[in-house]
Amino acid sequence: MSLLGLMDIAKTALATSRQVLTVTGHNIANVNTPGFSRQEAVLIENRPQNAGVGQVGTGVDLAQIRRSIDTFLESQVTTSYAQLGRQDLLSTTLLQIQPLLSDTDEHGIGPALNQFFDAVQDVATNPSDPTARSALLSRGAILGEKLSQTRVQLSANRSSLDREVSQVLGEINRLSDEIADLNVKIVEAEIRGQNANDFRDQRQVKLNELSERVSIQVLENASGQVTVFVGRGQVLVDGHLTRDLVGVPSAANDGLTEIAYDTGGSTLPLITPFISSGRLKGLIESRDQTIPDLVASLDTLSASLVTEFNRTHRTGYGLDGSTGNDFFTALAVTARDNPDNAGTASIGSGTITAHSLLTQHRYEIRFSSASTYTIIDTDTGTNIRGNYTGAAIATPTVDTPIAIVSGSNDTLAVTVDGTASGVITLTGAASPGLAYTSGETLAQEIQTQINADATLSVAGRSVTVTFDRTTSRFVVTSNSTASTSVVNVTGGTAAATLGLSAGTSTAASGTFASPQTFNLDGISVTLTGATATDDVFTVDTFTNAAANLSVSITDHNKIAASASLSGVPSNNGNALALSALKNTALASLGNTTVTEFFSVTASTFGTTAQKAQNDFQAQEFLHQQLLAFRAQTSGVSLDEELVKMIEFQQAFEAASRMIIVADELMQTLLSIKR
Amino acid sequence: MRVSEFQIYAAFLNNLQRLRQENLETQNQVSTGKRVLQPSDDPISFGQIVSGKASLAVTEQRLRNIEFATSRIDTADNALSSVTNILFRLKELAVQLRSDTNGASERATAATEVKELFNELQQLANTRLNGQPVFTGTSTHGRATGAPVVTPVTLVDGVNDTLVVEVDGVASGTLDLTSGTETLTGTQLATRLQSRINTDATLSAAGKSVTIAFTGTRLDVISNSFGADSTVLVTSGSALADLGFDGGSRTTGSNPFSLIAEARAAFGNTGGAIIAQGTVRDPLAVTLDDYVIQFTSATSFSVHNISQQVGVSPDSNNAGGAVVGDHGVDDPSQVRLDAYEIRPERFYTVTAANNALRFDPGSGPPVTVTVTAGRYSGDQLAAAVQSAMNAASGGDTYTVTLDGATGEFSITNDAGNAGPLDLMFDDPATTIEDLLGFPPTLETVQVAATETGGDSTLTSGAVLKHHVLNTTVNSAMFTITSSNNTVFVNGSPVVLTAGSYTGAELATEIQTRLGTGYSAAYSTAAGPPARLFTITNSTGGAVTINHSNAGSTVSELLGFDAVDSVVPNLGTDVSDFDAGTVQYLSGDPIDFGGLRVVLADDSGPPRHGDVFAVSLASQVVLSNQTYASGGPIDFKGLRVAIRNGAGVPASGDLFRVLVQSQYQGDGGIQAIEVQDNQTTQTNLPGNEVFDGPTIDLLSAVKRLTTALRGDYGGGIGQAIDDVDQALEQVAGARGQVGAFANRLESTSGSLKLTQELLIDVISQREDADLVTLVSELVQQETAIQAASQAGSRILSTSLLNFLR
Repeated sequence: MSLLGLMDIAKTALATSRQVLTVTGHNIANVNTPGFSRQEAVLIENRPQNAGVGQVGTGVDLAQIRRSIDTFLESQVTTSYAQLGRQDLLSTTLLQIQPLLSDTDEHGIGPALNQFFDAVQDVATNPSDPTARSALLSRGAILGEKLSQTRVQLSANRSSLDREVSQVLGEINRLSDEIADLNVKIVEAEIRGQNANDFRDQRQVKLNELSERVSIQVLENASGQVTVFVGRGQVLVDGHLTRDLVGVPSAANDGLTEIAYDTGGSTLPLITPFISSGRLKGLIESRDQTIPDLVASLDTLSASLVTEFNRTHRTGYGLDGSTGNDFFTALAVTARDNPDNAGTASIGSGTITAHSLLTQHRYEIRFSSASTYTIIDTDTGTNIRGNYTGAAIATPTVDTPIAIVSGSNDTLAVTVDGTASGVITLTGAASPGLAYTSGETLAQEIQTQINADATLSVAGRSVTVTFDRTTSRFVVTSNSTASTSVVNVTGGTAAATLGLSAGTSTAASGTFASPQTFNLDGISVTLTGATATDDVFTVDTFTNAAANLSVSITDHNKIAASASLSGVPSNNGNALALSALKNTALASLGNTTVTEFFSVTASTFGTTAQKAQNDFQAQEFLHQQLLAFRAQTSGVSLDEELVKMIEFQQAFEAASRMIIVADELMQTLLSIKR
Repeated sequence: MRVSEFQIYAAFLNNLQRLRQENLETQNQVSTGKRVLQPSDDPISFGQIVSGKASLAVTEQRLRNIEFATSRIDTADNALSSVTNILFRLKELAVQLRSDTNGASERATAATEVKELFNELQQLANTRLNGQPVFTGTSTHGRATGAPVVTPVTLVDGVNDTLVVEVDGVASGTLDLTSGTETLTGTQLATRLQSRINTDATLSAAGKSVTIAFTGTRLDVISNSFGADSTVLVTSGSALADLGFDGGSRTTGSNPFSLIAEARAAFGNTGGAIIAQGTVRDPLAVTLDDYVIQFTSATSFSVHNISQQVGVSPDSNNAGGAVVGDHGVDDPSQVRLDAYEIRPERFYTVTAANNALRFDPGSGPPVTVTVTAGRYSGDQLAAAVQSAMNAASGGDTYTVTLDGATGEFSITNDAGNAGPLDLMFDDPATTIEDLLGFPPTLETVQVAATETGGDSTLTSGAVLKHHVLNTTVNSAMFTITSSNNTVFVNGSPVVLTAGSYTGAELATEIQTRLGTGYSAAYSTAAGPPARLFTITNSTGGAVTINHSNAGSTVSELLGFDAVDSVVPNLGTDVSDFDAGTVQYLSGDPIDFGGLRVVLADDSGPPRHGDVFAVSLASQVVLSNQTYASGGPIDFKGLRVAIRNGAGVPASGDLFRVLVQSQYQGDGGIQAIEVQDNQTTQTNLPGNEVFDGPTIDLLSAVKRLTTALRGDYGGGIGQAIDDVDQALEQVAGARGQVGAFANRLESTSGSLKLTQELLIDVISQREDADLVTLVSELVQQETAIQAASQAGSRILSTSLLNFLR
């Protein structure tokens, strides 16, 4: 052991102290750097030298500078970012939408509904007052505006969410690239046995940023590179390689962006349903679920209101004696081909054949083979009821009754769910016959007589017969929802009189022959062309009902307040009936009233928004906890660093002192020689 | 545990931020005063607030409904209160004027006041609120109201099955009512007519339609539009007369209660002119009087006011003790401008118990003769006894006479007979002596001598009757009412239309009702009988006229005995005794030609042969006008139009124009919503207040003016009863209105409670409790201060501070 050795030892001490101080300085410098993990200088004794008396130490060495991290915690934080991203977006979006439903005082949909029905009552109280009538028209228009404004804003929200999807996809791809870059840098750095601490920290930050946008799985391989998976095992980053997520406009989803995985090939697999968390999930959820649900609720509300209000309105008489007028613009049928259909068949724009049968449900005509169809009511999940929809006839009235003459035009023959009836005889009279003065009484008579048929009742078949005042036709509907449900009018002397000889029979399931017209719960659609297995065609009457809600009549004299022509102007029977609609539970609204339905919609939305908010707060709290845990391990404590600084400052000073001592020793020795 | 800077700062920051956020929310709540601003603030409460506000809106709306309804009900109640006062005044007037101490002039003066009261009543009945009549049900429709028709009506294709109407000024095409031969009841007629009118192409294209009501005797063609433009006119067609539209009235839908001018052609008109539905042109000029238009030639006519006094004067030669009681126009729809005589006369009923006379003629043995059972006038009975005696006397002749003035029968043993005549009134075989007024003793009458009995009207079997002679047309008058309108033929009833007829008119009516195969004629003869009907059977077979049927109530008036007549084909059934006689009862009204006269015994009954001359002192309104077919005839605010139909009018043809009140509203109910699916009535249709259910009070008041003007005590008496009924009716209506008001008030009370409750509930859910909030705010501020101070303390403890 030489004095120089002592100097060497001191040198190592000086060097390591300085290095440790550098690390400490780095730590202090990065005390506020996001994602920074506290670094630790790991000191080891230098290899000792063998001396006669034993091993003598040779000083200290800096083995490595390592990050102080808990990898488990890091991955938890990464996952938490994904949750946070989703919850943050959901709660923000919902809170943005919420004001559309929230105004309880004057300007919202709820108050507009109330004021509309109040205006109806004002007309009922003063049926001949032009002021009350005009007010009703404007209240109806305001209600329409509110609903369509809300619809427009929801659509705008949806579009902006959709734009954000593309934005987020861009960010994801950028982050993927950065992570791949860092992967390369880390390998380069670590291949020499060094810890690429700062690169790793940076990569972790990027991973967290990525996770906040889309839920990912991260695997680190032996070389220190990470592989990032998204969706259901799709590789986003693998070493230095990246794959992009791309936005694909979806025909099936209103042209909105679907998320596809860029394999480089021509068909890009869609992974939208497999994204489980992150902002992207939040965006998709709000865009494809929350907003459409709300839109559907508003559409259903509007469609039911329009149907029921118009149906009652049509039966009344205006001040000008007019009758049969719609108050709101009538509903339109929305019929769509599924874009994924393999066949070339297309469904024509449908018409409403029986307003009284409309359910505001969505229907699907599904093909289980190229020519076998089944019609499903997707709201109930069952088959539709088979029916026979008659041709339009002249509406029977007191002045123009339909006469059933015994032995002349009083029989019918029908087939219900595959069972043929005997001869069904309607109650008539000798010429000039029994006069039926309303379609409803005649419908009741037809229904009673069909259901009284022995063959049909033995087989357990029964039907409901409806007369639709709007379109002036009879519809005979089977009461069965089995796939065999079908009604056909096969003959009888009364068939022609009742418009039941030139009608259309629609079975719940059967063989398709192009072109074919289907009648489903009051809607008539015609399908033309070649169909293929698994083709689906959707039909409904409520799509865009809220957006299209508007008052059809412009002349307040046409508001049908009177229940009879001769009761004009002061009869208010029909206005009372219209007003009573407010308290009528509608089957198409799940047996709630219009106001109840809106209140349920708003409070359901509120619950969702509240839950999103609470979830976000909880997640944020959890996230803060995780960050705190992480900070326990990886965070910089200034106190600690200051202590360490002083500690190594002292060590440095001591080492310096040692050099001085060694130097003095050296001088002493040299002076001896002198 | 390591504590890093991040934790210290993060903890401090998070705490401070959470506190700030809470503070912000609280501040928001304080500044808006609301606890729930967004659905997410409290979804359950938000739902309840939305529902609560909806209920509140409904409740407040219902309160508004009730407020409006209350004003309607109050208006009705005020009007009815005034109506009651007017009715009391009317009753007072009527009671005062009923007394005979008031003469014609006092009554005429009162008529003017009553007319004013009528106007007031009409105004009250037409009370409006916000431009809408309060007592109209739901609507006021113009209409054409037909004259009464006899149903069922047989419509025959090509004969009487077409009609042309004008609805709201739009003329229909020619409506074809049947394509065969159909006999329709009133209701069926209404349905048929309505269906034909409402399916007429021209009318449908113009959006015009009608509702047709059959109101027991008349068809009402009611336009479905409302207001002043709502009118119906039935203009022409072959079914016009059979449906009652050769006449009738028409109104617009301007007011629920308006005056109508009902035009009617008199039954006996012989010309071919038709009168259209009459209208009120100027309601202010209408006097409530009724009129008759009389044609004096085919080209000229006069208009007479018939709401005048009826003059009755006993003949100066009258020997009876009867005096004239009350007299007036009782039924303006039957009035004609003729002069009449009421003529009392005797009548005898011979039965098997009082038909035998035993006498000993001078030339042979005693014989017993009988007179055929049946009804006889005095002359007839005298003749019957005479002919029976002469047939059995073996050559002697006797003369039996009745002294009309004294009612005494005389039997004369004619000069040149063989010997004295023994009238064996004491013989048990003789039963007729009482009927003829002879005592039960043997009377011997020498040749050329006369035996006279007592006053036969005082004996059983003889009654005092009367007939009314229309001296203008020289025919008896026949008044058919529901109690004497049926004759049975072959066991089936044939019903004559009620009304007042001359003999010829009644013969026409009988012929019409008997139908094809019969003819009937009225004639006068030297008699007996002097006035007789002849019914001729040409049906092709024998028929039986069931005079013996108890339901054959008109047989006696027509002069038939209660014995069935079997009439062979082409045979006749002729009156057995004088037609047109009616039993005289002191104080009973005698009705004829729409007039009513009451005769009463004073110093004794009237005598056979007495005469009471009766005539209506009608006033000429328009005299000697020139007739132009179809031209309007205007007088006293009324307008009618007469046009040539099958021919021109004939001299003597009458057209009556009767003024009445008519309800143009309906029975519609106006209800308001007071609870879910629960409504309450807020109006009383006029037909339940003024037009019914028991009495049409405006028409009753109109009758009172007519009675007052005609100085007709019976009419005034009737009016007192009517006003009593009207008072009861209006009181009932006021009770109903009061009940509506009460119901509204109590509903309003409970709604107000609900309103308060809802406001409370909403406030509880929605409104912030300021006290709690402010204290929370203070707490939060303290917490923020505490957190800040704690932060500054912790931060100040950093080691750095000690290393300086």
